[in-house]
Amino acid sequence: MNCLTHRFSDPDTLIDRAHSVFSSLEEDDDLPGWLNEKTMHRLKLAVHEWLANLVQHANFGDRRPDVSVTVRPGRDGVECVIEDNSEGFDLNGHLDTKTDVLDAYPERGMGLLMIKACTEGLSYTDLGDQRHRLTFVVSSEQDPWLNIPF
Amino acid sequence: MTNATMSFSIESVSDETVTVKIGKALDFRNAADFKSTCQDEVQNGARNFILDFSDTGILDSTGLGSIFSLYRQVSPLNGQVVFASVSRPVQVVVQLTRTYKVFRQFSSVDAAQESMP
Repeated sequence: MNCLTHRFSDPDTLIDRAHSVFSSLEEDDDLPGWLNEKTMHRLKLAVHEWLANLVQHANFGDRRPDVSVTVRPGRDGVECVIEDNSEGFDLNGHLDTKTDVLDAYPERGMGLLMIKACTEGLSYTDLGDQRHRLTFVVSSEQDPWLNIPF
Repeated sequence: MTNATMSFSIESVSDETVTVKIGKALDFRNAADFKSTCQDEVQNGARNFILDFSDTGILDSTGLGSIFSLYRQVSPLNGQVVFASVSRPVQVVVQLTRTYKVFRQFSSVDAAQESMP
């Protein structure tokens, strides 16, 4: 499995196209042994949640959306980099203030916490020139848990 | 997403129990439709919901939130929400959020239907 980068520009089809890419990856005979099915599903979930965040909340101004998803195998897991040309978010501030799901049976507000729970080394960087980069690693060693009060 | 995956098929099991076939995805794109569909069923007397995830490749946070919303609606009515034929992608979300503590899981829709009052 080599480094893969895919670019997307249509928010209406972004999610389905991204999942199609992952479906192709899952059929790849060249997948490393440690990239088990559970790790792949966690990777897909984290990517989906961030792309869903972009589709629902990102402000691209009058620019044509340009979203790239790069997946590369690392020593301890899969590294994923998602770049976009939106105005960006205060993700770090959001995660600093909301470290846990507070409401019982919450209807909203779980997406970013799901990303945080099932990834390692989560970082979000303003690259300047209206580019932003989300980076994270999904490790095959994890047994993540998002604490939702029931 | 096609129209076929936006809608949910409902099978009535009894006066108070329905099976909802989730389809390929329950996510931010169709969670409102899911809530609306289930709300109609509750108004028609349904209290117990069997969610059939056999074909489901995507369950995201908004989709899970819509299931919590249904649970909040039927639990005061002594109703239940249970999961059947849970696919691997859905199982990853269930494990991540430990929602197996809230929603009983069954290996098949038939098994879930047999467990209902």
